[in-house]
Amino acid sequence: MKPYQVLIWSEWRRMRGVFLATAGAMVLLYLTILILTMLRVHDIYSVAGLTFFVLPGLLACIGFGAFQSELKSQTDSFLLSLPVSRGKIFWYKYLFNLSLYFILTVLCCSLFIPLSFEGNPSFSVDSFINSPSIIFFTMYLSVHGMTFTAPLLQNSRGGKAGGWALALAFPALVIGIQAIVALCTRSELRWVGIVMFIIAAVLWLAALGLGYYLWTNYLAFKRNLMRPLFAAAGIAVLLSAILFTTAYINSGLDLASARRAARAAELELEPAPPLTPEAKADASRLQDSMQQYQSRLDAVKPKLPSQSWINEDKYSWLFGEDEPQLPLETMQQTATFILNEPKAIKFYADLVQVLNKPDCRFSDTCLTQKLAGMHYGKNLTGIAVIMNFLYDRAYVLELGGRTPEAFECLERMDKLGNAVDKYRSFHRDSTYWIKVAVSIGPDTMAGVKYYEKMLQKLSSMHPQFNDDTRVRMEIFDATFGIPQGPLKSFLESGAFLLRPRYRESIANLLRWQVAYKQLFEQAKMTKYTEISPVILKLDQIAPAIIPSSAYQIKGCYAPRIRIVTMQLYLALKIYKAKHGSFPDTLAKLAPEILPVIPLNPVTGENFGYHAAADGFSMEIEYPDSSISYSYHTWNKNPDSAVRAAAKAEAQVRPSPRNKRRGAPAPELTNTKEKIK
Amino acid sequence: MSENAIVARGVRKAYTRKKEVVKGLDLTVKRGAVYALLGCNGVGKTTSIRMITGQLAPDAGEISVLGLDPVKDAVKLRRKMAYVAEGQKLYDWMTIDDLIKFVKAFYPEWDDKVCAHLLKMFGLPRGVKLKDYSRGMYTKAALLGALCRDPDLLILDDPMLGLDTAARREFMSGVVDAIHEFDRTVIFSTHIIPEIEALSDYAGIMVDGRLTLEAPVDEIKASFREIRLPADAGDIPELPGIVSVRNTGEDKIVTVKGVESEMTAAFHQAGFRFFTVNAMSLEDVFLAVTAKKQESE
Repeated sequence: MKPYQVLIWSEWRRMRGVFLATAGAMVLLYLTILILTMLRVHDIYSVAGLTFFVLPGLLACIGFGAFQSELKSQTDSFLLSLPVSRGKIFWYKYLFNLSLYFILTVLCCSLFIPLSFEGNPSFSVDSFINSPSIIFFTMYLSVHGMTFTAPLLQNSRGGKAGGWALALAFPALVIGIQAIVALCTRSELRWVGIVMFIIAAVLWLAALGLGYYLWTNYLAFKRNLMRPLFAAAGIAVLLSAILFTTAYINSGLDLASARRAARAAELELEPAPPLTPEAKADASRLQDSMQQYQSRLDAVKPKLPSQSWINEDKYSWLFGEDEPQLPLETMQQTATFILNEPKAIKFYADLVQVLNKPDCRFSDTCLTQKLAGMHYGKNLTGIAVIMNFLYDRAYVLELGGRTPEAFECLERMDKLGNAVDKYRSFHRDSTYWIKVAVSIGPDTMAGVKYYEKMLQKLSSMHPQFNDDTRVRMEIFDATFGIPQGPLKSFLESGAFLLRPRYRESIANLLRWQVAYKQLFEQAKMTKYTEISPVILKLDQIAPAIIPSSAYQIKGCYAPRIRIVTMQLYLALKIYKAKHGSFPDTLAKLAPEILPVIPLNPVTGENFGYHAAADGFSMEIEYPDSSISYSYHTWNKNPDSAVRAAAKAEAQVRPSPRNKRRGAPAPELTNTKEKIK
Repeated sequence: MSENAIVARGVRKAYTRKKEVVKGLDLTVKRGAVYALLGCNGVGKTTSIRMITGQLAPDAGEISVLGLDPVKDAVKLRRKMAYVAEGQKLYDWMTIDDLIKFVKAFYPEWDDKVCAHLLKMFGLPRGVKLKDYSRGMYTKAALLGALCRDPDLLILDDPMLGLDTAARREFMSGVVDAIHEFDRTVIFSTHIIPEIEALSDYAGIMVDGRLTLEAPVDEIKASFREIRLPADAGDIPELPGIVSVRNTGEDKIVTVKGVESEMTAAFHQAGFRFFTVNAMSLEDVFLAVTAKKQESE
């Protein structure tokens, strides 16, 4: 064996206990959260913050052990009697422990970050994962943990004092780094962030150099370095305080300028791009459908006992519960329409048809390329962010097109949405505000404040704006409706809330979609070809690296599957109405009801379909190879034997998402009864 | 190639401003010799050894080990030299085979035959973790790692420190043979002298950070004599060559250095009629030399 091999081997033997224990603890923590969530002990998966506690913990575990165990067990003299330089030993240890730390970081991120996005992240995790600074953050902390702690604690004279100095400096540095990241990624005052970033980099290098010096000189020569160490710790604390204060002050800056920006943005808004004749026809046809629906809905409305029925859980299958929702009103209208009005089928079919057009076709690979190429490259942050986007934002992109503007919309929407959540939490917990202020930065903060003011105004005029759900939908809706103009400043200011246009939700959505398509054509996807094959295959590679990402990928297919299955369900319903029974095969639906039979977007094959006397069942294969069986009955008195057989067949492979989503579809006959 | 393996001139080392541990060490070790560096606890033996091995840098003076500078050419030197530190600690999780695998990787000249031979000679059990070894076996394991790499220079810094009598004997039973077979330069730092007296060619006695005596062992033993006088003998005059005077209650013991006949004549001339002259062991000489210093303090 070579010297480096045995050095690495001995490092691994020494550190493996800590490593495995830490990894095991992390997995246990993950499982605990998962189980608690499944048992509904916790409703919200806001565990993003855990990464901020777990990661420094890992750092401490790994960093401490690097040199300290060597010194504690007094094996350093043995190691230093071997013909290998101290410098090499330092770098071997440093790099090896750094790699262990990175492995644990990847594990931590892959477990907690996707989990956290199931719900509302209550911590500013996005400020970290939306930036390559997580890499810097990791390295920075790792270096500190190792270079400071180990040589200090081994010092027989003053090790304890050094340890205390470090204990003070460490949390201060963590807070400081958060501030740096916030400034770098959020602030308009980028130069401040850049300066702080440089300071942090210098600190890191200084720490690394100090560690190197300690190992190569201090241990050998026993010079008293307590003073410089205390000085370093003091400087670290001081710098962190400066960083924190700067971030804090900046976060509250200039509400007035936000207002000015809002006014300017209003003035500078450009008109929407002209529609193509085809798009006009699309929009007109859809609007006709909508109007027909609306008039019928108006006729039905007085008969409805209350609006609350539509919010019941059994309707969630129509739209999914964890993808961006259409405006509630539209959802209600569409749901009612689909459930009660045969004419709605046409409207919905039109919608689906538009979405199915070739240049609007959803492609996760295309999305991955775009995200990876535009924002993040091949690094870990890229993976984390892509997973997040694939899961939560695919539907938005699906509807909004895949233009740079759409991406910008999304980014801003995320920022503002998160910021609103955080800002609102201020009212619950004042100490939390400090963290919020640091994490979201001044521009967004100003936008949020302005937004809150607008909200108050609107609330005084229209009580329904107090509804939090509605507010979020307005944001979503408004974001959709503004593809042009100085989007950035406009969205930042929150001024769009004053615009009446956001109310024209579904119509706008469809109009702008066509406009997006044009932009998309113009862009000709030139950027997509520049992406490396590794990234192209990311959606296939990622689940192998990060198992939990399978959920994300599945998530991005889910809306598509839902649209297609919705189309099929409706077609089956029409067929039943015409012929009195469900077809033997799906093929019978074409061309009478549907022009072509839609295929499973995941597999590219036909959906599994089994007809029964009183209903049918369908097999829906998801990207992670899990198969969900759904059973539908359309009569008041379903054949209990058939139903029981179908249920027995429904062996869904359990996955957290299946468990949440996989509730059987509602029995529509019962629903009708209820409505009536 | 120089005939000296180690040459140290005017070497000084202080850990703090007030505490100078080595105060001008002059030391010469010839190639191929077994050199016993003797001294009480705290006189600077270990510090001197650590400077010789390059683990500490001297504040002043020059050291040359196998023609190399121990600090500047540390890696090169460590390839040629083996060092077993005082209370040497190894990786406790290792077995003896793990240790061999680990150390062997750094030395292309590692000799498996010697290793197998020493393993047998030392009687080290395989498959047992080092932490479960007795203290004597543990130290032997460290020595094995040092010897099998065929070093030009072997430095053993008080390897018996902390060993009880049984462990010391267990250790020495193997080590004496091994060092006999090892025909390179050896420095043995210790204050437990009887065990290494027979092994050593040269001895240097350190007192208060300096080497007060350095000579071949035989020469030391030949040049020192113990003159035993009755307890009621008068005061000992200040004769040249007297190293120390001790009163045991029954006898007065004078350690002298020089030619025996000349010293005897001097004592006769001083009026002493009844005394015996005895040869001294290295340990006796060590005690006398260190006692003198203590008296002077």
